[in-house]
Amino acid sequence: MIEPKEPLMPVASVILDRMRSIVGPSNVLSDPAERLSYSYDATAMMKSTPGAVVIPQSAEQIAQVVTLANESGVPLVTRGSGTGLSGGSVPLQSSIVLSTLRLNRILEIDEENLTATVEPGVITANLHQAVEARGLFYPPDPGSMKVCTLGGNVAENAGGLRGLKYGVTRDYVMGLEVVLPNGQVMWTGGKCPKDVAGYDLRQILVGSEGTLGIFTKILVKLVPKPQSKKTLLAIFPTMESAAATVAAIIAEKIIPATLEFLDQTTVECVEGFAGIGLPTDAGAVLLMESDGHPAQAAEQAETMARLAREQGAREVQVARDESEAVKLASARRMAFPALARMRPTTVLEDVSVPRSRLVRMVTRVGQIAKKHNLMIGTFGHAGDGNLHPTILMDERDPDEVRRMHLAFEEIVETALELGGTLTGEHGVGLLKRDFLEKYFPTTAIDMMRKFRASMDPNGILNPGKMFQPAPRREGELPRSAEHSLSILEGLRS
Amino acid sequence: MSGFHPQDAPEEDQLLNCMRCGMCLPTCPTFQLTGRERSSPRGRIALMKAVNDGELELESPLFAQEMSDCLGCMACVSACPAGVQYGGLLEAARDQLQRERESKLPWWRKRLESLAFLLFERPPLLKLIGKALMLYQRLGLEQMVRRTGILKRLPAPLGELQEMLGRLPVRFSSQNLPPILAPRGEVKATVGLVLGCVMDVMFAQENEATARVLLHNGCRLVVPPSQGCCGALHAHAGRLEGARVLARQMIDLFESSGVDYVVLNSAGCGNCMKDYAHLLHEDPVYGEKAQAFVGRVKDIHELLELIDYRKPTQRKALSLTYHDACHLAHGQGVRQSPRGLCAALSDDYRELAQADRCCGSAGTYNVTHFETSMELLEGKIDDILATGAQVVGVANPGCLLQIRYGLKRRGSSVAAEHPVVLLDEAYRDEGGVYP
Repeated sequence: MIEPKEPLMPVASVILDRMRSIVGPSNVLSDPAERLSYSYDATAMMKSTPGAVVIPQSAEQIAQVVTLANESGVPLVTRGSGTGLSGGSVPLQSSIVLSTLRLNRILEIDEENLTATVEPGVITANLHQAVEARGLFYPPDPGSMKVCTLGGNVAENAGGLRGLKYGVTRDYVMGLEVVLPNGQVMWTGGKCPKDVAGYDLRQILVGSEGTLGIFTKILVKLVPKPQSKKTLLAIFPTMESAAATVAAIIAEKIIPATLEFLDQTTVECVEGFAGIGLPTDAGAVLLMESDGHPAQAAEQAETMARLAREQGAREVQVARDESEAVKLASARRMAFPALARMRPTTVLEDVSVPRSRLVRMVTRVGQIAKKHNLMIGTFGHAGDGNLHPTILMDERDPDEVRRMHLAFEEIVETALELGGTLTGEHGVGLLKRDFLEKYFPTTAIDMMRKFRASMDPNGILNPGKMFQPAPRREGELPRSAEHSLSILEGLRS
Repeated sequence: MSGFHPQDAPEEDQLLNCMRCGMCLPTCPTFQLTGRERSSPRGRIALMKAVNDGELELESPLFAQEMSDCLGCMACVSACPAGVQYGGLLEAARDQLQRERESKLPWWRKRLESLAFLLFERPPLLKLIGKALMLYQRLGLEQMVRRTGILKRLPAPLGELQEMLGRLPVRFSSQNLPPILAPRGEVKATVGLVLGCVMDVMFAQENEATARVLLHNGCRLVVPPSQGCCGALHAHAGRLEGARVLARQMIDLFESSGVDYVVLNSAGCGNCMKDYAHLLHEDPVYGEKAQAFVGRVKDIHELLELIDYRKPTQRKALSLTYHDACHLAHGQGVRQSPRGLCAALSDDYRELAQADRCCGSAGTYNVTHFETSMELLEGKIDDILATGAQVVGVANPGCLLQIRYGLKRRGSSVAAEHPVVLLDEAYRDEGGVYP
């Protein structure tokens, strides 16, 4: 992990003046205090001040801003609500931050074709509300859904709690209007569920982390809203018994809408913080939800409760109504807040492993925590193998920071060793760019780099993200993640 | 090197506790209005941290502007997963700015500026002004001034001030309430009643209703005649030393009286007094006293629930909604008990949309930031009118003035009342001996 700290470099005033003539003078921010407040996203210990901030009011203005940036060689970083967890919208190289928040209209909800068309700055929860009012459903529900934007969700291919049954953002994007790095506007995709014409450019744009284009319109797929939902909470003596329950549920051919776990450390913290009656010596807690037709949801819930008991659950609580469901779900909802309060700095991880390896991964995280004398609580999505080891530390303690970096690296390497991936839903960004080459063969990395270079030859969009800085650079080449950190530190001092 | 003065600097631990997750953004009224990161709690904390880390100067005009533009409504505190105590950070940052500003003023300006705050440090002075204002209103002078059209020519907030103020009562609550009041029957609890400075002068009816309701529910009341201000106005304006002086006085006032609880009907004061332990944590003498004191401080709704108050025998035939005062809902986490009271008062309780969104009153914000305040007020009035309720319950003096003013501007017949006044009326309507 790296902590970029670059000098405050204001953008040349000629360029700012031209930006002002495009978006209006009040929508270009250049005061140091303004710029400072766009130097971060939700990623721990990452900050880099932009050269300026531009707030376009329309898609046309975005296209003009990008054209100008491309012509004058000033890099741009797209930013929605700044809730990303991989440093994706942290502006390196004194880039100009381009905020999409003003483009926040839901343009269409097409009930006949089951689609919605939105602008990139629409808040995810607002889309949920709008479509659910019509009995429809947009399933992706990242933890920050009340704050984050659809544009950011598409750029990071955001996941959420419903991933196992309903998939992630990628599975819902049907079309995109995008401003390319040269300022051209391109539309890709459409309302046809079946469409096999040409290369699927839409899919390479989803999860491109702001490196290939800026979305100005997003067409998403909707599904009917499930009629009912059943919620259960099971308390287990060990992580193994919880994992065995997950395996048994899948073996029973049930795909629950939610299947979330908390490890022992997390359970202890949640109980200490919220006092909701969880036994603090519990090895793990599972939150399970089934949804769909009332009879089916109820039957699945019953089966899951039975399976949990068979696998040795100490206690299984089934919610009788909505308010009880909210109460049970609060155990999971409190996980992150409860952990975050323990120490000043919260480093959130999101590796993913095949479901069958989840226990091994959680166990290894526990060992890594012990080895480096760190507090790590783990919770996450048991159904899809995506977990959130959360390292709790104090960034003012250099030795703890050093141990955190080591643990972080070991967690990622362990996930890869177990056949997993380095990020399940937060993206590579800055946080994990040094690990990408451990996951992909050189051929794949080369292809990705070439693709990016062909789309953005001048390196205008989100420079420094996803890949390690190009090895073509002068000076020393980074040999490993740690080494690249030391190089960066050298640059800093 | 930190850009803050060492004394009363925003606490670094709290600054670091902010994970920048952004959960506060959709709850922040100023962020919703401007869409600018610096006008959000996360942005403001980032600016404080930048000053703390020496990356931004305390003198930066935008820093001062943001600290002043914040309503201090603390909606962000309710939303914060990491439990950042934003209220304390804001007060400390304002204290820093105040200190910095004052150090550059000539002595007479300093005196002049602290004059307004002197009012709240010297209760007789405030009462004198209160009386003068009351006479001004009652002797027809107000009408005369209004007729001259002078008010229309003043800049908006000043001209509107008279409208916002409402009509002052002839007698203050401190003139009407004796120092000790005993209930008829068994004593359930001994309760110290804080009359407040502004509440006493402008809301005698609310204070007296509070006293009657508590007496009726078996509370023995201790009402010290010479009460001062709790320090909320000082703390809010970044005058922490001034706030501490008042906090010590308040603790002394009730410490020897043997009360079980100290009760308030003003959300802002209650929030401030519950924070005394933090305010005085470095005080060698009062630090510990404050710890014990805050445990006894209760909002009137909390206390009514605690002593299991008697529900009125008949519910009123009126539709009722309830506005959460920021310092009650976000500051003290008191949300359910006032709603419970409303439900006990009326069969037709209607939940208000965005009930815990700031009405724009925010201390003196409606005077210092008139336009923003009015924008927020209009939204609040829209939501209140959308419920179709006849009465809106409001448990804070600032919000009461603001919302009454907003309703009047719209020519609405909806009344804004403190829930405890409604309870008092309900008891009285039952007939029989009361209080």
